[in-house]
Amino acid sequence: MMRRPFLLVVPLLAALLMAPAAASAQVSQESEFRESPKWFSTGLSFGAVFLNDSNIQATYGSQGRFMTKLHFGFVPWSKYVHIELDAGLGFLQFTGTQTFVDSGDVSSDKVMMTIFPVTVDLLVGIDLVDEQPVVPYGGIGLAMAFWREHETGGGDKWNGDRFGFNTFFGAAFLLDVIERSRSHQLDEATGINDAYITIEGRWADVKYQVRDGATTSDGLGFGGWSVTGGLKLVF
Amino acid sequence: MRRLRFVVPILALAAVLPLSLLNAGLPEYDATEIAVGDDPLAVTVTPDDRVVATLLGTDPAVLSWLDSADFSAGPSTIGLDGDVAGSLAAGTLGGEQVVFVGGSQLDVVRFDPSTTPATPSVDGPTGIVSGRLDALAWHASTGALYAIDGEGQSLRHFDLSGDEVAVDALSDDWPLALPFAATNLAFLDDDTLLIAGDDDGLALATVDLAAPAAPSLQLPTVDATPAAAPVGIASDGLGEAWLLLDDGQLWSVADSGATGDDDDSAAGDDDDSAIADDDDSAVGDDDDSALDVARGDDAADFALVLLATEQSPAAGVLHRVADSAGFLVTAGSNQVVARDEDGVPTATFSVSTEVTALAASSGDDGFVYVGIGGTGQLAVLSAGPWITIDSVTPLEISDVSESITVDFTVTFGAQSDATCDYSLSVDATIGGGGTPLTPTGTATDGETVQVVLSGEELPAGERRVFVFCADDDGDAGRASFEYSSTGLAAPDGLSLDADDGQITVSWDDDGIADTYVLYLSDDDFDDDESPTLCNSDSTICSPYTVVPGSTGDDDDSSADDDDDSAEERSDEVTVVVTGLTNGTRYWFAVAGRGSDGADGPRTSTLSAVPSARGGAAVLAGDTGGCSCNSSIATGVPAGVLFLLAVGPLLRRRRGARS
Repeated sequence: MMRRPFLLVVPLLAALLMAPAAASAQVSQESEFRESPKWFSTGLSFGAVFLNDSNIQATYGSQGRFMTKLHFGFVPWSKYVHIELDAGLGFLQFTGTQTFVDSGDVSSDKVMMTIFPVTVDLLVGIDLVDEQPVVPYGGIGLAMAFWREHETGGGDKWNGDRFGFNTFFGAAFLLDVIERSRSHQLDEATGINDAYITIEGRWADVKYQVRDGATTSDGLGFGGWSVTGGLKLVF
Repeated sequence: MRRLRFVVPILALAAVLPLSLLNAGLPEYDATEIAVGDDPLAVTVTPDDRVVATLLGTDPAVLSWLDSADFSAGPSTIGLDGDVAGSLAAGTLGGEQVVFVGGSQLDVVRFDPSTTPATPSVDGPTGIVSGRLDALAWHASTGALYAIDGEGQSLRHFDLSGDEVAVDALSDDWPLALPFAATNLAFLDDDTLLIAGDDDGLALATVDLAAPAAPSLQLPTVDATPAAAPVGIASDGLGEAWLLLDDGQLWSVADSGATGDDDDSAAGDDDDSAIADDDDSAVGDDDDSALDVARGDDAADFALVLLATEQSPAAGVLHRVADSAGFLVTAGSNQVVARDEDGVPTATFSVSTEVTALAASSGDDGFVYVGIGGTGQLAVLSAGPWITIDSVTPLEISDVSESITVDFTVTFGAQSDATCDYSLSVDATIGGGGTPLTPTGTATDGETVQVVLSGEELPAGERRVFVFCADDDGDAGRASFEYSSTGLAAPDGLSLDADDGQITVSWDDDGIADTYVLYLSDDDFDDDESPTLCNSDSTICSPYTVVPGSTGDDDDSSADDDDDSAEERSDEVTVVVTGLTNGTRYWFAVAGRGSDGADGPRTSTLSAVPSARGGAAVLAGDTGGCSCNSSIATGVPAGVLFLLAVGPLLRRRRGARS
C-alpha cells in the first residue's frame, strides 16, 4: 500500500526540481548572465505560534498566536547545498484573563504576555541547480525567549528568559523564475540574486533557565509549534 | 293636596340648602367630645392652630392642652401656681406659640411646635400686685397683652417684648381706669380696643392705643341700649364687632359713620335747638373732635343691630374668616350655632350639656372647641370629617421590606351618607403638605379603612404620618400617628474580590445607615447567626463595624480645602479583609446599622476563596528572572554573532584565493 504512492511522489519531486532548472539553464545560456556571489540572507515572515505550556494555555487559551519574525543569515556555502547560519528575532503579544491559583476560578482582571523569540540556526537547503525554483530546507538551532507578563491597567509584572533548541523544515519558492529578466536587473543593481517565498514549520523546546548556576526547566515554557510564511532575500 | 306637592320639595331643599351653602372651613360635623380633666372655664387656640388650651375650674388652676396634630395623644396638663385663674388668650411671642393665663397673676405658657405633641414650657408667673385678670387680649404687633382687671376696674398693660414682663410700666396712665365693670375686650382694629361691660345694661368703651403710653379712653354713643350684660365680644379686626349678651341676644357693633356733628338743621348749626347738642364749649363749637357720650351727641358713634337671639345662658361668640368670608360662631345653653356675619344660622350643633367656653382655630383649619360644663369634656366641631386612627401595626419597622398597616375610621356625624377622599402624607403639617404616600381612596361614614404603607416609601427615622380625608367642600379632617423606621434595607451591590491572602468586600452605601456590620465566617451562615471569625491578626473580627468613609477632600470652600467641615460620603463602602488563608472559602454578609443601633436586614451571604491570582507566570509559580549571568545564555548568542561577523571575512578570503 505504501510503496505505490511513494513511487509516484519521488519522480514528481525530481521533475519539479529539475525541469525548471533545465529551463533556467537554457535561459542562462541564452543570456549568459552570471549571478553575484551569495553572502547573506534576510527575511521577514509572519505566522502562528502554538505554545504548548499548560499555564499559558490556561491563561491565554491554546489557540495560535500571531508572530512576526525577522531573520538575518550568513551564507558560507551555496552550491548544490545551501548552508546558512541564521539569527532570528520574533515578536508576539497577546492578552488573557487572570486566574486564581487555588480555586482555578477566572478573574475579571486581564493580563498581557509579550514574547521576543530569538533563534540561532544552522540551515541546510538542497539547491542542486542554478535558479532551482523550489529549495527544500531544514535545520536545527538554539532558541531563546525573552518574556514579560503584566497586569493590564497597571499592577504586577513578571519577566524572564528561557532557552532551548529548535528544529525546522520548510521550502523556499524562488520568485526569480516568474520574471527572470527583472531578477537579473535586481541582482545587477543591488546584489540580491535570489528572492524566495518561504513556508516553514518549526518546533521548539524553550523551557530552560539558569538559576543559581544550575539549569532548570521549572516555570513557564515557551516551546511549541510555529508555522510561518514570508519573504527571503539572498544576496 | 296640590299645594303639599310643592311644599315637600321646598322643605327638602330648605333642609339641604344650609349645608350646600356652607363655605369651606365652616364647622360642619357634629361634635366629638374629648375629656380634658375637669370643667372648662376658658378655651383658647394658639395662632398656628396647633395647641388647644383649656383652663380647668380647679384649685389651683390647671391648664389642660391638646395638640390638634394628634388629638388621640389626649390632653396634657400643666399646673399653675395662681390663686385664681379665669381667662385665656393666645399669641405668638418670639416665634413660639404662647398661651396666656390670667387670674391673680399672669402665667405665660410657651409651646414649641417643632415636636408633636408640642413641647410646653412655663415662664415664671408675673405678679400684678392686686386685682384679677378677667379677660385678655393679645396685641401681636407690639407684643403687648391687655387685660381687664375685674377687681380694680381697670385696663392693665403687660409688655412682653422684653426679657421680662413689664406690668403697667408704659406710663403713669397705666393702669387705665374704666368707668364700668368691664368683662370683655377685643381689638376692633389694630389700634382700637373695644371694651364691654355691665353698667346696669351693656356698657361700651373704646381705648385708642395708637400711642400705648397715652391711651385714650372714649365712651362712644350707641343707638341702642341693650339691657343685658355682655358675655362675649368678637371682632373682625376691621372695625366691626359682635356682642353676645347673657340673655342670648347677638348684636352687631359698627362705627355708625357719623362725625358727631349735631347738624340737626343747617351747616354751622350750634343753635342748641336739638336735644343732646354737643356745644361742649363756646359759641361755634361743633367740631366733635372729642366724642363725649356724657354730653350727648345727637348722632351715635356706634350702630348696634340685634341680629339674633341665642339660647341662654349664652356662653360666647367668635368671628373667623373662611374661604374669604367671615362667619360667626355663637354658643348658648347646649347649642353651638354657625352663622354668617348677619347672624343667619348656617348650621346648629348640640353638645351634651351647657357650654361654658368657646374658641376656634383659624377658618382655614376649621375647628371649633367648646367647653362643656359639668362633664370635663371639650367638644370639637370640625369643618372636615372626624378621623379616628384605630390601630397602627407595627409602629416600628427595621426593614424597608416591612410594611405598616393602618386602620382608621371616618365619621361624619349626622351626615351618614357623606364621603371623603383620604390620603396620607409623611412629614406633613396640620395644613397638609408633606410627602404623599401611595394609598388613597374614598371613605364612608363609620367605615374602617385599612391601608398598608410600604416600608420602602416611609422615610427613615421617627416620622409622623397624617391621614387626611377631604369632603366635598374640600375640608379635610385629620389624624396622625408616629412610626419609627430604620429605613434600612439590605445593602445593595455586595461583591467580593479575592486576592492573595485577602478578600476585598464592597457594597453600595445607601447614605442612610450610620454604620455597617460585616459578618464573615469560614462556613455559610443564616440571618439569625452571628459568626465570630477573626482574620489571622485579629484586626477584623465578625461582626465587624464599618464606618462609611468620606470622599476625602470636601472642597467646600477654597482650593486645597480639606477641613472636612462638610463631609460627603462615598457611594461605596470597601473593606479589605486581610490575613485570610489561601484556598479556604469565606462567607460574608453585610447589614446597615441605624443611628439607634438597630441593625437592618442582612444581605445574602456571598463567598470567595482567597488565592494568589495572576497570569501564566503566577500559575506556574514562575517569579521570572534573568539567566544573563550564565555562560550558556551569553556564550551561544555571542558565538553566533562571532560567526556572523567573521564568517563573511573567511568567505571573502576563500573567494580571493579562487
